[in-house]
Amino acid sequence: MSVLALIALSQPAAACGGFFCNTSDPIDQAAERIVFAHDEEAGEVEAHVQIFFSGSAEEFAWVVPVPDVPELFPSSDDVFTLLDSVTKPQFRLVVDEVDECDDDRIWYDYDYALSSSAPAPEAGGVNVVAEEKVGPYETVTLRARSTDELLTWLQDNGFDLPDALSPALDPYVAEESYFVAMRLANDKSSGDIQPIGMRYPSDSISIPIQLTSIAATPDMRVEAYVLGDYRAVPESYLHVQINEAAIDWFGGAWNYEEVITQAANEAGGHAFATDYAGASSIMDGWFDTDRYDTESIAMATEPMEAMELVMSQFSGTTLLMSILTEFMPPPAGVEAQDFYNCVGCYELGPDYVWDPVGLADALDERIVEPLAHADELIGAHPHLTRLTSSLDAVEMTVDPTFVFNSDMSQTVEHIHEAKLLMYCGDGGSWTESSRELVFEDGRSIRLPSEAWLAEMGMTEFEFMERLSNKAALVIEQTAASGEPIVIADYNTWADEQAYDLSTEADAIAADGAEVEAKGCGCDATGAGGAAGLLAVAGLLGLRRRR
Amino acid sequence: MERWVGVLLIAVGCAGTDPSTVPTADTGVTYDVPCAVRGEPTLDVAHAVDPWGLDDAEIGCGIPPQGGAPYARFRLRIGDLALDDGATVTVTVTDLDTGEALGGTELVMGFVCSNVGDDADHWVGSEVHARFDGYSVEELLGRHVQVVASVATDDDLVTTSGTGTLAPF
Repeated sequence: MSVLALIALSQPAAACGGFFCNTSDPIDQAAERIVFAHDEEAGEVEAHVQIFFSGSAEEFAWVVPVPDVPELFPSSDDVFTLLDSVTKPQFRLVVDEVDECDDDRIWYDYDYALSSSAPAPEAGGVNVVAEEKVGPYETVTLRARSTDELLTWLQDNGFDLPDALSPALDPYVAEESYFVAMRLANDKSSGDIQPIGMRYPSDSISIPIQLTSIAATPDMRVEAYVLGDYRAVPESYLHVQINEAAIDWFGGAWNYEEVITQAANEAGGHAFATDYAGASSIMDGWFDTDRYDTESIAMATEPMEAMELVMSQFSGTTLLMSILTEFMPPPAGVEAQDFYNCVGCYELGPDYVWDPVGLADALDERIVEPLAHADELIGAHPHLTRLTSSLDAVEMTVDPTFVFNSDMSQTVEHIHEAKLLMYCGDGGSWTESSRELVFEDGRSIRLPSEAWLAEMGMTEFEFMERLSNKAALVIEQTAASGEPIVIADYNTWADEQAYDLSTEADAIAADGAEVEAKGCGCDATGAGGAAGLLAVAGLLGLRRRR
Repeated sequence: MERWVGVLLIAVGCAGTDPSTVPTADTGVTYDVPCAVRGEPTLDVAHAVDPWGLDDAEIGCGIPPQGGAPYARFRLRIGDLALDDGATVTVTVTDLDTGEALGGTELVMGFVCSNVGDDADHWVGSEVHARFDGYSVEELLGRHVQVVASVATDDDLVTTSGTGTLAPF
C-alpha cells in the first residue's frame, strides 16, 4: 500500500519578473482585518487595523470610534500578511492507494486560493483631545457629543468625509465618545498608507462594523485575529462550524470564502467561523526581525549598494516604494518601479541627491519597529484565535463583540486533511478505479471514477453538489463561559447525503451504467426524485437481463 | 433476482429520508419539518444569555465596547412564524415609573431554525442591542422598565413584553 500526499500548494506566484510587481493598490475593498490583543491585567485593548484605500492622498480620511483616548502608533501590513499566511485554513487531500494502481491519473492543480485583502472602516460639540503625527498620518483624537458637530468639524478641518457618513456615526456618538480621525500628512502619498495601531483602556473587544457599512462591498470579508489568554469566541454573533464536504477538495479549496459567506447567511447573517485557535507560538520565528540591518543601509555609499541591501532584507511592497521614493527618488522621467528594479541600469551622476540615513530611519520607524512590536505583542499572549465572517452592508446593524472562553476546547486546527482512497484492484487503472473520500470526522463518500466523471463532463465537486446545500454544519451560541449551546445541527442530514451519494457511486461502479449522477432525482430533501429514480433503476434492470 | 436487487438498492438510496426530521433531545417529539407554522406565532425575549422571559429581570446596561450610547443586550426566539426571509425586529424600553421612552432599536435580521436542544422548532438569532441615546449609564441604572419586542414579516406580527431593572453589567 502506498501513500501519496498531494499537498495544497501555497499562493500562486507573482509573475512580474522584478522586485516590485503590482505596487498599485487593488481597487476592490473586499475585507476588513483587525488584530486585537487584550491585556486583562492592565485593562487595555490593543487594536491594529489594516487600512486599504484607492484614490488620491487628498481624498483619504478615516475616522474610528474608540472607548477612550488611545495611544496611536504605526503598524505594518506585514503583520497581517504573516498572520494570514500562517493561520489561513488549508485543505489537504491525501491519496491512499488501497490496491496498487496503474498510474494513468489526471493530475489536479491544487493551487490554494488566498483569502482576499482588506479595507478601511471609514466612517467618520467637539473637543480636540490630542493631535499628533503617527507614521504617515496627521491624527486627531476628538471628543464629540453630536454627530452633526463631529462631522462638521471634520469636514471643516480638512477631513474629506461625506455627509452620508452621519447615520453610520450615530450609534457611536453619545455624551462622552471619542473618535480618532486621520488624514495623510502633506508630504505623503496614498502609497504611504499603512495599518494603524491603537491602545486604549477597555475590557471588551468589538469591531465597529456599523461604521463600515457605508464603504462595504457585498459579502465583505471580516477577519479578526484575537490575542489573549484563552480562545476568543463571538458573543453578540453566533458561531458556525463549516461543512467540510462543501469545500472543493479537488479544486484546491477555491470556494472556501464562498462557503464562509453561505454559512454566515445560513446563521441569519451574524455569525463567525473559527479558522484557527491555538497557541500563539505558531507565529514564532515568522517575524524574524533579526534579519533587518538598517544600519548597513545607512552606511551605504552608493544607491545601488543601498538598493541591494534593501532588496535582500525587505519585501517589495507599496509602502517600501513610497519610502524609497522619499529618500532615494527616481531620476526625472523614470518610472519608480523601473528604477528600483534596476538601479544599476541608470547613470545617476554626482548631482544625484539621496539620503541613506533618512532611508534607514524611515525603514526602521515604519517597517521594522512595527514588526518587532507585533512580534512582542504576540509573544506576550499565549493564545491566538482567527475568526472570519462575511457581511453585506445591510447586515452591518450590530457590532460583533468577542469574549474569551476558557471552558471550551482551546484548539481549532487550520490544516484540514481528507483521505482519497483509491480502489484500483491491484494494478487496475487509476482513472477507472472507484474511490472514497474520507473526512477527518469519519464521514465518507464513495465517488465514481475519474474516467466516468470526465465522460459526464463533471467534476467531483459537481457530483457532490448537494452537500453544498448546507455550508454551516453546526450553528451555536458561544459566551464567556461554558460549552457552546448548539442551535442547529445538520450532521444527520450530511450523513444522509453522503449515504445517497455513495449509493449512486456504487451503482455507477457496479453497472458501468450511464446514470445521470446529478439527478437520479435525488435532492437534499429527498423529495420528488423517487419516481425518476425508479425509472432509471428499471433501465438498469433491463440491462441486466440482456 | 439480480434485477430486482439492483432496483432496490437505488430506490433505497434515494427514497428520500427527510433530512430535517430530527427528534428533540429533551421532549422526544419528532418534528417532520422544524419551524413549520402549526399555530399562532409565539415570541420570547431574553436578556443576554439568561433564560427566556423577562419577569422583573436584571437587565445589564452599559457602554458598548466601541463607545457611544449605553446599550442592553437581548435575544429573541420565535415559533410558528415563517421566517426563512428574516424579519423586522423592534425592541423598545420604557421607564415604568415615568413613562419615558428610554431607548430601543429596529433592524432587519435573519434567524436560524433550531433543530436541536431546548430551542428546537423555533427560530433564534444573534443578539439585538437596544440603545439608550441621550442618557448616561448613571441616569439609567436602577430604572424599572418594560421591554416590548416585536417581530414583523410582510404577513404577520408577533409581540411580547417583559419587565426588569437596568443594572450594571
